[in-house]
Amino acid sequence: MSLHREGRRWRVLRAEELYWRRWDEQYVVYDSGSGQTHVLDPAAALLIQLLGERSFEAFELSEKMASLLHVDADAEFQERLQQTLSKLEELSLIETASH
Amino acid sequence: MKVSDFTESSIARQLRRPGIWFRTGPFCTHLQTPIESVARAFHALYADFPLVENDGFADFHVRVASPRGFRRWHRPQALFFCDGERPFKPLDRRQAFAMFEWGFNWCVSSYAHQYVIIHAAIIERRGRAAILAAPPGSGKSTLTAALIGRGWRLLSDELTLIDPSRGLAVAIARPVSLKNASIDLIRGFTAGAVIGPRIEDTAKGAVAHLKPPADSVYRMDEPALPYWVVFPKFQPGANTSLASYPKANAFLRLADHAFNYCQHGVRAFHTFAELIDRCACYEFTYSNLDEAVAVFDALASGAPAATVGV
Repeated sequence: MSLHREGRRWRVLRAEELYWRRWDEQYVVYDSGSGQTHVLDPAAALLIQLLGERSFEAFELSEKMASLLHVDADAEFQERLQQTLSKLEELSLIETASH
Repeated sequence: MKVSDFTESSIARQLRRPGIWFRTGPFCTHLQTPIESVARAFHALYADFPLVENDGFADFHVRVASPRGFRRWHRPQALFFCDGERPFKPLDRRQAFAMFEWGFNWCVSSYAHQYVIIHAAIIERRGRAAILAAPPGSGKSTLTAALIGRGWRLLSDELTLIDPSRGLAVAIARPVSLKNASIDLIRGFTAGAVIGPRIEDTAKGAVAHLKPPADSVYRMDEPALPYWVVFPKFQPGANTSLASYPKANAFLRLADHAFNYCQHGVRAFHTFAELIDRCACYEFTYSNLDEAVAVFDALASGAPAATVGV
């Protein structure tokens, strides 16, 4: 799966239906739409919080994340971001949509 | 009046017809059975539980009966009914009391949705409760039995009931289900332990039930605030070890043990979140019961987690 999907933007499926709790460096999110509960690391939680505010194109999202985390958006970072997006999509927490 | 105010034969007679109404924590149960082994074990193990006057109401109308026809005399069986329904296949009649206990658990976990119900033991000391959550075969009931034999109060061996409006755990204080080697282990560990008949060849192996301490039954109307969440594991030969466990993972693990997390939805999430906020969470490995009790006693006495251990 590619991070960059032509003309499509990443967004949270049901931001208003997510309930959060944080302990130490881990987040627990309850998705009342699906009834599922997940444990997320801080980067995944940050991604969902960003995408809950508005949708992002992949490139834009990568730049924003890199800037917030004070890291370079290098190949390794891109790969980690892609893995995280794939995982969150698999959990039905985020999706891509056309403009 | 309590069960032990009557003789065994009187209890057996009442159980045949019209049945007995008795209370375990917030639940009133109407039990009817003509099976003598159930009456005998009930009289011995529920001795301290209060009887309730029959005003027509019971949370659960339970009947443990023999089937009609040839199954009364050839390989006799027992049937379990709750409110007239039969949720389980028949079992060998020698397993009738175990069937009653399993069926009682089923009644509570299937119908008592005013509580968030977790498949876990819960015990209390000095006003603080410990939830012991673990899959079957982890030594949860053995540990529970050992601790209540050394002064901890039993709230429940199988079902932790949390009132979501207050976050308090409610006690039912029913007998502890011991399996296989743990039956003799607890008999040797707890002086004066009253253990019901050993029932062989059940789906869980040999099973016997430990009578709850009288004090736990007398205090079953006292709720308790959970203070610790512990995931115990019996491991032969292992050193006793209590290790902090990440709260987020504890949340997920505890939710996995809940019977009705989905039914409660957001309310269950908030109930668990408040519980995990308040509780210290641990993984606990043990093989020696004396050492295990010492660790829990140190927790109850307020020793910092880092210093707890044997």
